[in-house]
Amino acid sequence: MERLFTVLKISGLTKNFGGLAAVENLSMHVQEGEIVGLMGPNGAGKTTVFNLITGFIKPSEGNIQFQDREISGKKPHLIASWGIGRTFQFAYLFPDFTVLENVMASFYLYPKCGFWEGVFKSKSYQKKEAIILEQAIDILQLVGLDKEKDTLGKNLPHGLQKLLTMARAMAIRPKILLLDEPVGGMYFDEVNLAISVIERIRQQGTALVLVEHNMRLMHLCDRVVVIHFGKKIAEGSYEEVKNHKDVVRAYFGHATTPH
Amino acid sequence: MGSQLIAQTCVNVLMLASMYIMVAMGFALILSVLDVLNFSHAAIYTVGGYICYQLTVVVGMNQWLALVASTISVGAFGLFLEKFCFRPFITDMNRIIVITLALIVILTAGINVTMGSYIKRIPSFVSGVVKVGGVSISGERLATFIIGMLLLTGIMIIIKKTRVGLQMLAIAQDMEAAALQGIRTHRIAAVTTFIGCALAGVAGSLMGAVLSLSPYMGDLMLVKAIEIVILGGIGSIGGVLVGGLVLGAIDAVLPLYVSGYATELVGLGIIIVFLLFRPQGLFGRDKVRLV
Amino acid sequence: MNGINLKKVTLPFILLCLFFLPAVIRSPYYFHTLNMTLIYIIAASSLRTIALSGQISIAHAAFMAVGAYVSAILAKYLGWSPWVTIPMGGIAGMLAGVLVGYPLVRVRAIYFSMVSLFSGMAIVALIGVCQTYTGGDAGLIGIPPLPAIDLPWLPKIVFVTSKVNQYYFFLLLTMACLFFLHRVETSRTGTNWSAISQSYLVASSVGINEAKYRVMALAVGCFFAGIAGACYAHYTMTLTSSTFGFLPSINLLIYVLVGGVGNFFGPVIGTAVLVIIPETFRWLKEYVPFIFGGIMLIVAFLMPQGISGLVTQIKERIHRNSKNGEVVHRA
Repeated sequence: MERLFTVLKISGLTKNFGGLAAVENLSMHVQEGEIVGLMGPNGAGKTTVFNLITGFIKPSEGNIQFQDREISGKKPHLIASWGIGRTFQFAYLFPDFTVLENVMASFYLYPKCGFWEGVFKSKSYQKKEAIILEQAIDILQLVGLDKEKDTLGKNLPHGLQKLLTMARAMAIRPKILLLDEPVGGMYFDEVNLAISVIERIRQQGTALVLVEHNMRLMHLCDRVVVIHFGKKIAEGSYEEVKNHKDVVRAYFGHATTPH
Repeated sequence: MGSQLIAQTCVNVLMLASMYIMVAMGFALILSVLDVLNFSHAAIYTVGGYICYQLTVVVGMNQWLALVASTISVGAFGLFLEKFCFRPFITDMNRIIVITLALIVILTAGINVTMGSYIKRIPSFVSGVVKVGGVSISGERLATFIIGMLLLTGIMIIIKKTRVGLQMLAIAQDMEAAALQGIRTHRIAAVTTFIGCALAGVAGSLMGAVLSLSPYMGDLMLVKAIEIVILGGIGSIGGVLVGGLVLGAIDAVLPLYVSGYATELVGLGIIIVFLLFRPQGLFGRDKVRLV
Repeated sequence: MNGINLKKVTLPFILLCLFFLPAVIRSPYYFHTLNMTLIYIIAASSLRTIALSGQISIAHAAFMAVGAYVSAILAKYLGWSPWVTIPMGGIAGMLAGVLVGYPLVRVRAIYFSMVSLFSGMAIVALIGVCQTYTGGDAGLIGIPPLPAIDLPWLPKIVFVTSKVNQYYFFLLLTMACLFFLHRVETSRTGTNWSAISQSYLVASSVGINEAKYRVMALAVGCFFAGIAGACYAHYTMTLTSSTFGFLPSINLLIYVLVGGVGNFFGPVIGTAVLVIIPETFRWLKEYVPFIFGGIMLIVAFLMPQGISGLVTQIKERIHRNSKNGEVVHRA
């Protein structure tokens, strides 16, 4: 198999919160086009890892390299502009914007609109706005939310809100997308929709890192990394990992007898 | 610097600090427990002082009785405030802000209209000077400080030791959770507002005796209260105490060296710079309330 | 609402009335009130612009002060024409806004408002400390008024003696400022501000630089505050330290809240109502604040969206009644 390009490389990542290590010496990598799962019991530090990668928290030690660029400790908006998108565990979105406005607002990076352009509403500005509108609708169709485009974000049912956050994250055309519990709280058919969306995202060439507990999503992953108390305790395919004794102990508190 | 001046200044610091702390504590309690920025606190402070004045000078009541009476009436007004102005609009901060601001305007105008804007003075509660180790200290100011300390200690005991106080703390952390636990949030909110307004009322009356009364004295005091609460950290009682002491010290000591505007500038400057490095104040919760 | 599209017609109609007002009203006193109202409308509207980015500033009058004093001092002591110094007042306000706003980026919500309050008071105290130039408490007098416009192909337009001429100037200026502010609000910049105000976390995650846009909002808002302040200086020709400060900043905030912070014309309506109505009851003297406070209470208790939201409020009420209590999502 040809050597794929490593998109994200984390080495020795550590985050201490006043004596408690939320993440400890974590090393992992993500390659182009991969779907990597990040598993672990609640409180294992998965969201902290996301926050560290995307710049919402500064690491205490360690490096994070994104496409040959050292990004650890940089500001979130810069990291987003370099191509890392994310969703949040709680479906954070723009509550007072409609679904369409939510996605359109997320097109901040491309195309760039300046202050004075907007004031004078020049022809080029209007063209940019038209492009944004068109691309926003494309994304909504990809995610299956185009019928709800005029609904206010806060009025969407929870499952669709989560889909919206995915749509929003895709607007920045990320090379890698970090999804934090993308199907948490979704109904069965919503999960199906989410899975097909994730597949389509992968087809477009975006790498994905998923934090999820849902088994069906774990099957989607090429590789799974399991962390517990901030440390990596296993890595491999889902099949390999789910019977690993440390993983079982982490989840159930004791090792099962092999069968 | 003569020891007389030092002693005088120390008393001034303590007196001013206890005054500031009383008002700030009332404001902070209402802010923490009810999540309400009670701008009308300024007016309540002023009204408390004026009611005491009315009762003492016009009606002829004994000063101490007047003090108690004015405090209770102001506290009662607080109950009215909580029930009709805060409780119905608890979700909409903008409306409450407009209401409390409207109240300052109306109450201040009311004082202006009924009592005139001339500066008045409540007769001293404690007259004469006290001699301590060779220096004389104004008895009035000392008494103010002592009364303030007693009240504040009482409030602290109530908050930390009694059931009501603990319930107040619970509501301050999370009103919904407290209600689910069976705490009568409305009752506690009412009590908190009563205490907060009463504190402001006492401070107003004491200030009226030590310095003077004017219809607009509340405005400056409100700003001081906000400065103290923010400096000390929202949600921290200890913070109010320390913040009040710091501000009292600045406001009592600096005017000896620099003019009015410069004092204010330095005081504000210190606070602003401090907040830029530590926005949550001295003892505030680290988790600053997010959007 | 069928037939005439009320929304499109109302604004031009009002503007027309405003332009022809001097034909109907003669007394210069009324125009004085209108002039002050227009100046405060510029200030209140720019305060709302700042609020769009989620920053509720309680220091706006202080930025007016910066513009006012800079313009006044340049005109009085250096002899520059107010036509030049007024824009400079705006720039001064803008710079002050950026200077204050940049460090304040690390505080949000209520903390921002409180620190902005302190910053505003610090600015006013600073102005008071520099007594030699600003006149401190005694104030600055003898500020040059707007000079007459004397162009070859126009009749000479004198301002200082004619309140009506000044009215037209302020009217045009206010219209220009509001137009600009509206344009900014409906552009991408405005969208970014709204995004930051709704969730700075999400906004950051899509690449919006929260710090940059918040400072930008302050820059724009404080520029117009500076302009309004400078206009005030050259209109009243005197300045004292009590003109701008904690209370006037609160007043501006009240104008915005009472008018309705959600609507672009909220500050316009709020300012107009809260300046003109108490002024017409001037004869009540020390009872006037009751009118002011009374209006505030009526709006606070009855109109959750402010006066500008009244029409929407009534529409929703009618809608709800006609649907027999069925909950309808706001379109």
